[in-house]
Amino acid sequence: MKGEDMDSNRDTLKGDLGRIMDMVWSSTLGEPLAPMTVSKRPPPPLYTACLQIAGTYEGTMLLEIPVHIGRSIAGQMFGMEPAAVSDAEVRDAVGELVNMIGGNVKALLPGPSFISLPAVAEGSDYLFSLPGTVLAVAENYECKGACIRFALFESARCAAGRSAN
Amino acid sequence: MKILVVDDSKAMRMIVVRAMKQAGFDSHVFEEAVNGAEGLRAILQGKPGLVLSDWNMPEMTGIEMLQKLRAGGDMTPVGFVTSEASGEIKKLAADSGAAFFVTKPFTADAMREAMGQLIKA
Repeated sequence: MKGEDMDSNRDTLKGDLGRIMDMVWSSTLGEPLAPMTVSKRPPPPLYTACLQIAGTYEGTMLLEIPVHIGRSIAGQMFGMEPAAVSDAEVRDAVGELVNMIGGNVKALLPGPSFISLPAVAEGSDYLFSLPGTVLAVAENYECKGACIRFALFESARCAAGRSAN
Repeated sequence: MKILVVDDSKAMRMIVVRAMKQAGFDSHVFEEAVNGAEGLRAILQGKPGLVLSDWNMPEMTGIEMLQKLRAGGDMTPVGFVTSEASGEIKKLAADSGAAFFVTKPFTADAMREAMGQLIKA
């Protein structure tokens, strides 16, 4: 694939990702979500929700959400006051968010591929390491004045295959 | 009618039930199961009139649950409410006898449209 084609695909994926994020936020949470021009990890403490894709396409999707936003989202999903939601319920809600986003993103990628169950980490002092992958797309969004981030890392094998075509 | 919601996410089970009630199906009785294996037991023992199932779940997936039901001759209507949106997954669901397919995220209108022919409000 030529360089301009890869850039074009990445731009298309970014546009589709924005549409999916907006669809998930508006229909599930009734909240507006605004794209941000910055591209960085939100400040901790965070929830990092992770979903693996395996098959024709191999990659990892990460959704990073500040803890207070995760709790607020969980409150909306459970129909409860945020303070009344348990930590396990917040992790469940954040995992379901990445699952909804990831399932729709997967439909845009080469298939057949399969997605894993979501895994969710929480804390202030951790780094997420994804050996053998390269960043395909990462976008930041503003939700309730805070920054959230979605990133898709693809396996180096997939990235090399695309470059060779 | 008894309606069984099978999903490993507690948040999503609540959202599904809420959307079904908003769609006008609030006179029905909703029961829940947390994976395909539990769902299979609940269907065989509880005989629900309709099953709404997630696709990816631990222990037993939704499609495995449906295929085991059909292999045993049980024709309980089962549909999927899932974030899986690819064509091959929808085809597998249809080929396995799924009654409907709703992609997450969904609205109450989408639930009404998918299930209006199967149950009464």
